Amino acid sequence: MKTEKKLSTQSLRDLTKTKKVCVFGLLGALCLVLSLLENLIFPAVPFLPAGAKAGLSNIVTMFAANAFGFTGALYITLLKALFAFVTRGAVAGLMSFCGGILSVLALSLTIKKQGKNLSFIGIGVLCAVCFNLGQLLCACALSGAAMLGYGKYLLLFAVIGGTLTGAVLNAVLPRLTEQLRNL
Amino acid sequence: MKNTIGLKKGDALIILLFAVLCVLLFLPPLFAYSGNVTAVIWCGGEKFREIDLSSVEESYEIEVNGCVLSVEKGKIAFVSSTCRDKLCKKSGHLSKNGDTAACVPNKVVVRIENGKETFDAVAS
Repeated sequence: MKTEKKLSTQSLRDLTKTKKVCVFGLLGALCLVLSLLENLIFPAVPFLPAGAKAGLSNIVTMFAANAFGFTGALYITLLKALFAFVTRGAVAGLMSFCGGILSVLALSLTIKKQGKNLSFIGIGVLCAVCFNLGQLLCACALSGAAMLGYGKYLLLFAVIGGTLTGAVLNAVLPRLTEQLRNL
Repeated sequence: MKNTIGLKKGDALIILLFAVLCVLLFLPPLFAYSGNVTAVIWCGGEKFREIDLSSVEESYEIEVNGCVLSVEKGKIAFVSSTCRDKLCKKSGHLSKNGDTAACVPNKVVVRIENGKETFDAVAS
């Protein structure tokens, strides 16, 4: 099972260029839909602190990093930041960008370690923490260090959200790869 | 395929590490002295105003940089804001030490402090 998994994701790299463009189009669309959905759902949930969400689009970023490496994840992150900029304004775009860049860095450092002892759950948590850290630092730069008080909520939700998205990706990865392979 | 979500040793370690960090961050305010509650309002990184919430008799509203805050006895909340996502309003009433709400687009941050803890503004 393990070797098959590794082989199947690796196999996305030797798709033809046209197919790669297709795959990126699909992944990008998936990422935007997920972030749009969670921006609709999570602010409406009572008792959650403001801004708390699961980071569902991080599933796509992690998948892209796994299938196409650092650049793949970077494309998705930039697309997401651009989308936030267009739909939710400059501040949201900048925060998404700062978080995304930090998250992609963490992702590129850890994604190769994925295997026997580390799955996407650990990577997801790390990425989510980095994403929120980037956002927090960005918010601090914009509105002052008093924002740091918000850090603990962000950390809590990064751990929960990262675990969730990692578990989803663990379950979905083989099937998603197969689907994209057979485009 | 017994373990479908595929939690591994490394994952558990990472989760545990951040969970412990989380607990460490959440614990101190619980033990903090909570006599008088002071709301500190920051605007653009500068301290805008300090309000002793315990001594508020009649509730009122103040306006800071496009955000309207309602001040009541023992609590404070964002009522409205000119920003787009209105996340500040979602934070609801702040009353406990360490509670923080912010409107990042308008650069307004409200934090509850209990007077003992000093929090320096670092202009960044």
